Amino acid sequence: MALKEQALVDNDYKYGFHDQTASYSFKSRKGIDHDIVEQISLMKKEPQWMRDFRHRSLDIFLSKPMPPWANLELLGQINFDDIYYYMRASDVEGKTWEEVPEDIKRTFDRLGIPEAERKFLGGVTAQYDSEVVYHSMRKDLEAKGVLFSDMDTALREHEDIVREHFATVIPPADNKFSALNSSVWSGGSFIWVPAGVHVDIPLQAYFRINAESMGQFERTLIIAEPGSFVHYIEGCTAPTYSSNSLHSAVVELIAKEGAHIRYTTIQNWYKNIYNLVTKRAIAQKNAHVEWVDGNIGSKLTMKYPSVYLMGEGARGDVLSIAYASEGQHQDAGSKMVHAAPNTTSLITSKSVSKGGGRTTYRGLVKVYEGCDGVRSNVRCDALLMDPESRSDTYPTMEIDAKNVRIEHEATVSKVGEEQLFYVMSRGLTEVEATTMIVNGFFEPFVKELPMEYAVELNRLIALEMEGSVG
Amino acid sequence: MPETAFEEELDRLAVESLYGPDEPAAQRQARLEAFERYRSLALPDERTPGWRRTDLAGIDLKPVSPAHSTCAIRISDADKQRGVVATSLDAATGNGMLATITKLRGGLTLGKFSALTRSLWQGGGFVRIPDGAVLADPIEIEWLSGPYPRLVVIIGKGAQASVVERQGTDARLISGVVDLFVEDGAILRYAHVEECSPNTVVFSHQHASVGRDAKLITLNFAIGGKLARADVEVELQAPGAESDMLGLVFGEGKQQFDFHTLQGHRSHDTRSDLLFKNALDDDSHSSYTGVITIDKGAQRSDAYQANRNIMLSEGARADTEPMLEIEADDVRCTHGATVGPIDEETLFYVESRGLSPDDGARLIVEGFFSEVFQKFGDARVTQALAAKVSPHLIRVAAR
Repeated sequence: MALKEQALVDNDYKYGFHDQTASYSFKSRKGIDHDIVEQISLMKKEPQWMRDFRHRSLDIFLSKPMPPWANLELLGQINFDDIYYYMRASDVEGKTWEEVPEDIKRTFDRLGIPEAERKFLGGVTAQYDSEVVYHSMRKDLEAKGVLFSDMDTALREHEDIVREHFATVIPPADNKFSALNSSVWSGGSFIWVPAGVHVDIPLQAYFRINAESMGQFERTLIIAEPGSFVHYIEGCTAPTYSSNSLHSAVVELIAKEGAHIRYTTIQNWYKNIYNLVTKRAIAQKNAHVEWVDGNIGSKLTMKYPSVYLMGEGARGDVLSIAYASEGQHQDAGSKMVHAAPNTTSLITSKSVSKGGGRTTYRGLVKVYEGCDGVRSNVRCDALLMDPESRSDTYPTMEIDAKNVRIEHEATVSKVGEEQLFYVMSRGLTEVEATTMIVNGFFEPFVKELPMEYAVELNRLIALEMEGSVG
Repeated sequence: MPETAFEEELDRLAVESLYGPDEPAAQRQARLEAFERYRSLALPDERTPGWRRTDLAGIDLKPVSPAHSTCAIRISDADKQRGVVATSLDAATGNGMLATITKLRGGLTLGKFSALTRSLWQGGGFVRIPDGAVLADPIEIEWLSGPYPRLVVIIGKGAQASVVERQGTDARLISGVVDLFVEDGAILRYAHVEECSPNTVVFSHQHASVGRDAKLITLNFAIGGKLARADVEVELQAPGAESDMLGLVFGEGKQQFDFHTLQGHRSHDTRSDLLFKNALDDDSHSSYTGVITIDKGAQRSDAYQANRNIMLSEGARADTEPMLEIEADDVRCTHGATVGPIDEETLFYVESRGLSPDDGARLIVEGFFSEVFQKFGDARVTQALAAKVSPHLIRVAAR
């Protein structure tokens, strides 16, 4: 049986290798101050407004306290002075696969990017540490006028569009980590979809933290003009390291009238990474934004993808899963802010805690006064695999309108004895049966993923479940 | 007696001198500890955890000077014969009736105001129902005066009783504390009825501990006050302990209701259920925050929590924050919250039977509340409460 064979495989982190990338062409010293920020901006030859923005953001970061409601025990372990805030692995961006340096290619090979490329994926923007090193885009996308590049390139080539939208959804002062990102951001994706254009194939980027104590602060901005559609996929894996790394991204989505954006993330950082991410979308009239968000890795994830429903008829969906095993805390959730009438939102969250892991759902549904006809449904399910694990649910609903329909429901339970008994009566071992049930629990999420992701996720869960039943 | 606000002139000495040299040492100790706690906390503002959703504009939270709190306790003659003890709380501690003074140590989340009451209370009420007594009639406790009312109810092993505590005084600020001890195998029904004047800021901190195979049913009924806040904490201490927590709010004008609940599963094989229902009219505002905690090792806990809000007007506001903190795996734990207007379809159905829309609305809200009353399980108590709500509902219907 495949599962039995896998049990013989090393149970450690699947992508637990790392390349000896010693040839960083530029690496700032550790720590953060105005000099570092100035240096980053100079290196990137940025316009003055961006440089000012970075300095302003740094002041905000330095003055803001940690969020008091967070897991301060884990957050307190971050030593901000012991992190590299900027480095560039290669000076020249590879325009074709052949131009990408050999050691970086090897890393991507193991992640399966070339295979994905060979399939139907439209553009690949693979980020190696801070800078985008490889970027290709299919001709038909270009023909449609879709802009898809890394953020630094976008700032150079489409400064007007960037300036108009950058930090309008998530201002630096939003929280301590968005301020940090705003001051040292590097890389990330920029997508602009012209009005009425439907991008049929998912756009994809791979992120990967490679250097020890290397913060990764990518910045993603997606703008869907009226009536357009785009699906963006972001997947993360990171190699093994001994000391803590920090990943703090800012992702801004703008769905204009009638536009539809779907943003899929699979987060599988290694278990010493702090993943503190701010993701927010604005949905204008009749727009639709979907966050599909999977959290498997990292030491501490704090991520609450949100949709601000600003125009009548806008819709926001979040479908998320979280898996926490020993030493992990997945603090994830979602925010839906209804600022216009007849807006709807749906949040579905599923979590599994195992081996002393902790999952937290933290959410907000807010309805402003006068927003009649709002509908919101929040559904959280948590599975606990053993008595050492923990699950928390902290939803908040603030409702300031009368003619609305707001529903929230959450359950916490263990794998049902009857379910187990039934599956085992079909000849499976307890481990296999439990794995099957957990996979079934995540099914609504998995079926929303492109196939290669779905396969990988199922395999990851099978690996994680090994040894979970004793 | 005209009330006076006091600032920081209140010191340990003043707290000690409230009772004089005869005060039992352990009681004094508990008061001084509470006083230190009070002093360590700032007066709540919008940034204080647990107060974020309370609109404190125009609300004076400055504590009032200590004064004696008195209550009338009504017990039927038949129940007096069953050995029910009722007295003031200081009499009970003074004559050793409440021997286990440790029971005065206080609730879990000692906030500014419950700490204040635990340090400054004078007078107070004490009820003890002896082991095995099954009471014929509800015990009624009515507060007559005092800013810091404090009630202790102990129900002995295997006893059964209903207790109704009514707070309807008119004052700027009232901060009450209630401690309920439900001993093994006992069944206690406790209703807290808050119908203060629209100028009153009223707090109630209720803490209960429930023993083996015992059952506690609490009902917080609130229709009065300018700002009414209740913190209701139930800890299920031993296997077989059960708790049903009920709440009913009818808000109108600019009233604010702020309810915080805790279902604490400290032991395995415990069960809790919670149903808080709010109907909000005019510009009233309700904020509900409820936590279910299941401790490590509290296997086979079964917990449910529901907060339902009906919005009767455009200006009403409902915030709800139901929370779960689960550290055991063999549990069943579910919560739900809803906010919405009166259901159109139900209204249509009722109207199709010939009722006017207003009468229909009134009937539907009555039906909405009746579930809470039924769950309390003592009609002698809840019929009186239903009568207290109905004038408000007629007002809604008459609009």
